[in-house]
Amino acid sequence: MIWLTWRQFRPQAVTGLALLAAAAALFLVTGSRMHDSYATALAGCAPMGACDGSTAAARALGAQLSQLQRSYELMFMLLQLLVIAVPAVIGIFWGAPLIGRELETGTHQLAWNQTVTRTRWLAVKLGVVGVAAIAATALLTWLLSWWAGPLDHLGGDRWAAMTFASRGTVPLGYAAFAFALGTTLGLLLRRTLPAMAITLAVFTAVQILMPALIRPHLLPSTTTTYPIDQATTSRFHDFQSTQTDFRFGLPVPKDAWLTSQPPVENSAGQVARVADHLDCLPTGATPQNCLTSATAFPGTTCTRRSATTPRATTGPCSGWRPDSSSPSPAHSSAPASGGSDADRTDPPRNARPRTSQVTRNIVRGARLCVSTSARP
Amino acid sequence: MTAILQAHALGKSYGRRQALADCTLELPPGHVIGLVGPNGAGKTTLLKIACGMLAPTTGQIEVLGEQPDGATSQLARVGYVAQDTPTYANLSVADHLTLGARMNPGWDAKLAQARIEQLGLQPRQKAGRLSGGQRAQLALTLAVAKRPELLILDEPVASLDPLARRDFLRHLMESVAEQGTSVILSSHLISDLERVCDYLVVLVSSRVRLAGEVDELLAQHHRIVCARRQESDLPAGLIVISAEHTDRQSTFVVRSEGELPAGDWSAEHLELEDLVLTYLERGAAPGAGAATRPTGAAR
Repeated sequence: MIWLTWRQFRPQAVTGLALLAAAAALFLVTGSRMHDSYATALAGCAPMGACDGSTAAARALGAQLSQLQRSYELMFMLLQLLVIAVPAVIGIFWGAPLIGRELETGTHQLAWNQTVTRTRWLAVKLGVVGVAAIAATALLTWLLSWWAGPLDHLGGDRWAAMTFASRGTVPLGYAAFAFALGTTLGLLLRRTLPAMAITLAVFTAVQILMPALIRPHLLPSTTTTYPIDQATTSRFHDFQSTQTDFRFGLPVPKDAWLTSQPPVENSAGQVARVADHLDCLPTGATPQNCLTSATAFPGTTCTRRSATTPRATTGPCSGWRPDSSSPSPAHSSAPASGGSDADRTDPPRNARPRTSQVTRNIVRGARLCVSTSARP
Repeated sequence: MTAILQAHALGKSYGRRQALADCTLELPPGHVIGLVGPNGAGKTTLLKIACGMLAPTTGQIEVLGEQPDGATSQLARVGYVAQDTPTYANLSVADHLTLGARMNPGWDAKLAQARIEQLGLQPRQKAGRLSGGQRAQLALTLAVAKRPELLILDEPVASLDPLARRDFLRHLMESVAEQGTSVILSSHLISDLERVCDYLVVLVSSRVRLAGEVDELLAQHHRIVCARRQESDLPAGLIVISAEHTDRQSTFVVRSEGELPAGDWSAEHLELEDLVLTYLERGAAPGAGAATRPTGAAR
């Protein structure tokens, strides 16, 4: 049975291998060139101990690295797209005909009347081609991860829709899904061509809907609120104002996915309007000075892991300092989300008590702020 | 000898459509059995149930003493050539032989090789490039070379031209004669079966109208022409299959278990084709059905 499966799959496998080899060559040729430039640039700044751009020479190298990033941007995008598209191609050309074509041409009747049970027939077909589908995708994903290593390091956002879908085990899952989808549609429709078309349509829809609608909600999200004071604003960057409100670039916890970053609010939870804080303009002004005229500091909002929405709040919190043991100014967790999900995903385990410590601090801090603002 | 196929009240429905209903049948071994019936009579359904490709909705069936359930023990004993003789278009003739060898423990490579040579098929030729007749021969080779005890063929010659049809049936008979395999062969053309079958089953609207050895059936049936009379006026022991009346005379097709009693009529034997057509007409007539006794069950 394995022989028949392989013999039937051979033309598709040969085509797939040829395309895979071509892709590998492309990855290796362009990748080694980029890795060289990257290594050269890094070698230049590392001895200075100044890859963070603290000296003029290091800044020049930083510019060089940004240039590297920019020049490979298009190719980076296309190669990510390739890894995302490969599962679809596998579903269409390997999955859909696997059983669909047998039913279409009636050859399943020939296969089913050899001395091989139908269970075995199906298991071997699914096993051989399914494993090939996942292996091909894995190889390509591995190539991309290697290729994009420097770019990911320079400014990659692993949560970006295309990056997430083209790294690690995610493409493997999509390959298994696309293969199963194509096979099932072929089986149900009993025709290869419609099965191929619908596989493409469904897979594309899933690739669009997953990151847009479902993935952000797979884990409950976390909201982190930062009071604006001397201690925290040094960690902010890019203080900006739009027509109506102010925005900060806020520190995002490691491995967190920033899903939204709302404008600065006052303690009542209302957006701090530019009109009320004209002394902050131009935005070069020191934010903690001009924004603290707002009335109060709000209580913290619910926080959950994995997806993070930092938000800055205004308030006369000068009397409050975060606990010295807290790693970040404010990272609180609502009681409701303290369930097993949050527990399981919290790395490392010994950090838990400290996190809850922070939670308590923040709540106390909030009370403190409110009481402070209540004074005339 | 046990029956090669034994069906009791067998039925199969697809949703509301009844493809086969209340089919009771017992087929003796060692015959080339022709299964005749109009299109839609349930021939394909019956054969697919027999080789385990379909599960019956009602009733029981035993093939070679076992329920056909797609287990390997049964698969090895029953060869099946599906309607339109499907083969893998992308695989060569040699690939098909390898397929057979790899997937059947009882594969007879010599026989398969000999047949391919005899047929003049090029081993490297893709099955998709073969003519309809060659494709059918290839499918037959696959089914025969696994050395089944029972070979089931579903309208194997329906789409072939007369020459290919004759060739196919000749090869079928040769293979069967060598191995002593029982064969069930379905067709809606009696002329195909007349040449090769020694046992006949007539299936109309999923009911068995007639079953028996061809020679016996021919011996038992007569067409009698006599002066006009009612069926009831015929002597007892004659079963009237059909009756036609003109003003002056009546024509009956009758069946008699023993010798036809002498009478004031002229009697003649029927051709197989006429005999089958008589039963087909009778089966198609409204109100036929339940009253009809399946005749000539296997001894």
